[in-house]
Amino acid sequence: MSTDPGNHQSVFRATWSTALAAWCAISVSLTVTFALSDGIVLGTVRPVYLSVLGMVCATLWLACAPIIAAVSRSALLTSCHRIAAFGIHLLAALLFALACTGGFAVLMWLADRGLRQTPLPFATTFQSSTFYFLLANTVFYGFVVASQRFVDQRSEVQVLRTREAKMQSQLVTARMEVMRIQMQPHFLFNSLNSVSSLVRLEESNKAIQALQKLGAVLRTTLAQHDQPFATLESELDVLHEYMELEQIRFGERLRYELAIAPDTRPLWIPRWTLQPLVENAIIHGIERKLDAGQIAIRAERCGEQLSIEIFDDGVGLSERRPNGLGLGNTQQRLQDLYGDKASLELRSNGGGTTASLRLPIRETVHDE
Amino acid sequence: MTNDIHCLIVDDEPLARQSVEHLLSRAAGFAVTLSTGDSRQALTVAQSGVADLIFLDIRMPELDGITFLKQLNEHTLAKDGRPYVVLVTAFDQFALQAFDYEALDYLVKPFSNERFHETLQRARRRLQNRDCPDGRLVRRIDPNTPVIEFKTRGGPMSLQPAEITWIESSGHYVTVYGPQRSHLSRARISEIEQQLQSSGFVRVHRGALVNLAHITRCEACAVHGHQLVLRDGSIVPVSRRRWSQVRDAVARQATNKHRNV
Repeated sequence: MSTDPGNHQSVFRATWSTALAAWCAISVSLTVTFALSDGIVLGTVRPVYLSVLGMVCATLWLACAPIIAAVSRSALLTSCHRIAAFGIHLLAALLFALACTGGFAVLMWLADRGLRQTPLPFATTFQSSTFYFLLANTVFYGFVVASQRFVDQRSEVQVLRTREAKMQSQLVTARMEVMRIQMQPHFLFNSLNSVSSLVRLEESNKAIQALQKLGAVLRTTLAQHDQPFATLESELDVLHEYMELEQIRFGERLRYELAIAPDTRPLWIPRWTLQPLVENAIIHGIERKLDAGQIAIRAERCGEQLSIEIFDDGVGLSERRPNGLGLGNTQQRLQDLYGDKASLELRSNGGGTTASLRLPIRETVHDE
Repeated sequence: MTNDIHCLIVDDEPLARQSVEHLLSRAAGFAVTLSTGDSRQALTVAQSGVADLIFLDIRMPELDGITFLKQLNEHTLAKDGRPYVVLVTAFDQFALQAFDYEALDYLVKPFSNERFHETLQRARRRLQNRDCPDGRLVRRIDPNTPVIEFKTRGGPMSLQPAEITWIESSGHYVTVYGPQRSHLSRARISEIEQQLQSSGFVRVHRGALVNLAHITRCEACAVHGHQLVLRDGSIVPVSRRRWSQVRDAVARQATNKHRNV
């Protein structure tokens, strides 16, 4: 998923400033804790030594934070039952606390040994700080896990929102694309011209039929649909009106044939995917050929997939103009709706071109 | 008729061709020589010089309209020898190119009957006025061929006087009885009479104007005294007041015919 660079940078900056703030806060609180334990054990406080020690320990802690977050995100913890996860977290917290407490004690002892002529024995140093450190380390562990949960949840919501917005915008783009094709001189003007010719030739019934078809096609295109899916049946209905309009225009030159397996009709497919493909077939299969051309649409179940093929016997792939906008958009939409489970490809079929669409079978409008 | 303007219709859509054919059938002096969706065939015909006027679509398979125009211009270098080309298209972006190739007109589909009629008038004017030195393939349309125009419910139309059998008046409207069918037109018979005076028409009563060439015989009639039987079988009474005038005109017409034969 692409994020825009500006956004990325600000997130980065926020992370670093948060880390710095956390580091400062932890340093200060550790220094205070050390000072307290120092005061209890020794009766004196050594500010420079303790603050340096606090900073070193804070660094150690913060270095551990990503490890804790990674453990918390691990598949073992996210997939298992809540109670089990809690137990694992408790165990991990204890281990972490012990390890850190030990580490801190070693650091303190080493520093102590370096600074004092008569260093305290390790056992004393360890004992003196054990209780506080165990507690502090456990609390820190809990804090890291909690903040990891919080941050992850928020970004997950954001990701979902972004995806939804993207799909919405792609639906709009697809609709615009279909509208562009239909509103283009190509479709709308040719239809108007057909109607005006029919009126001129006093074929008023045919003219009214053509207007009705044009109305039906425009109505479905201009209608607001929030649902990105429609049944194959309803998509074919609109397509039928569209094809008949084109047949009025081309007369004998356009032949079209449907071979739709009945069990595919109620399946849900992304709205407005067929029309750009058929439009392409007409442009390349009928318009650019002098003789009669044929367009065939075939749909059938193919194992776990719905296979739709749009076949034309026109000029073929090599002579096609680079006019991939509609197809590109369709391909992008399929990718976003289905990932790699759907495909759209064009291939030569001898003379003409076949557009082959494969979609995962979707029996209901909602995700299964 | 040899003085007709010979037209080619080149469009890959049958309905569009029929539309132009229909409009041309309503215009006097235009004859469709070829109507085809095959632009290569049309180019061969156009280059052979039999066409005066070409209605050309732009977006067509194999040979598009602009290329057609280019090749036609290259082939018939003498400017005066070219047929006139009217581009008929659903797209307006080729108008400048059409201008470059000296197209006579540029019709954007769908066009109105009136607009098409203007195109025909322009074509007729050009064809009548063009220079036409001897030895060239090109013909000039006789400028003295009169054409009479009517406004009908189906748009403007035109007829040559010779094609009209008679005209019947009913208030603000006239019915023009043409070669195949009659046309109702909003006009006054007196205005038409003025236009047709020199073309061999005679007013036989207040509401009828008859083409002398279409009269087959005169009969006696109990009500009006006399009536005319026309070539298409219709019977038109002659008013008593105008009988002598009509009789003279018919006699003159007969003499002229004899003289011509």
